[in-house]
Amino acid sequence: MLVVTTENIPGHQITEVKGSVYGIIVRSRGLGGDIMAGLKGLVGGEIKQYTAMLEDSRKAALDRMIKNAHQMGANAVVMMRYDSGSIGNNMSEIVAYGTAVITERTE
Amino acid sequence: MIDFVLGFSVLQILFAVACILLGYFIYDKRFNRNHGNEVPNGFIATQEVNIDPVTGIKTTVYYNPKTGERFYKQEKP
Repeated sequence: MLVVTTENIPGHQITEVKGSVYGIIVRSRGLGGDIMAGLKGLVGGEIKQYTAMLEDSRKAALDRMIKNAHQMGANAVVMMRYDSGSIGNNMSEIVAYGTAVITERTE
Repeated sequence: MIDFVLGFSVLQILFAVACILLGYFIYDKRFNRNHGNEVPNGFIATQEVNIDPVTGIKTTVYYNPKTGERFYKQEKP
């Protein structure tokens, strides 16, 4: 499954557009992670507890989007984007979305 | 009355400790941490590489064209 952020894929031709596709996840760090992150926030620097949470969330959202695109019969996703938001005080929502397409090599 | 307030406070602390322990040992796990080094059958390599910003572990991504699943193979440091 080819996933690109561009509109076209060099060396490929889009033969069919399957439609929009997305993968979504909401994660939180838990009470312990939030307390540690809060303490780290007092002194500054990178908050690794939240870095890890967002890194994992983006991976999970991408995986789910690709799995959905596969179910739609696509072999590529173009114009892939991430979007994010927060729910409550400590929950992060990440969505990966794009357009599921079928491409064929032209070269 | 003092006993009630004291008991309620202890109960709240115990509840918070239980939440922290449950989160640490059961729920708050890193995504795909246990994928390991052995790539299962049916997965093909992609050119996607990822370095974890916290652990520094490098992973390469494999894709299963039949199921649409992805596998994160941990590379040896």
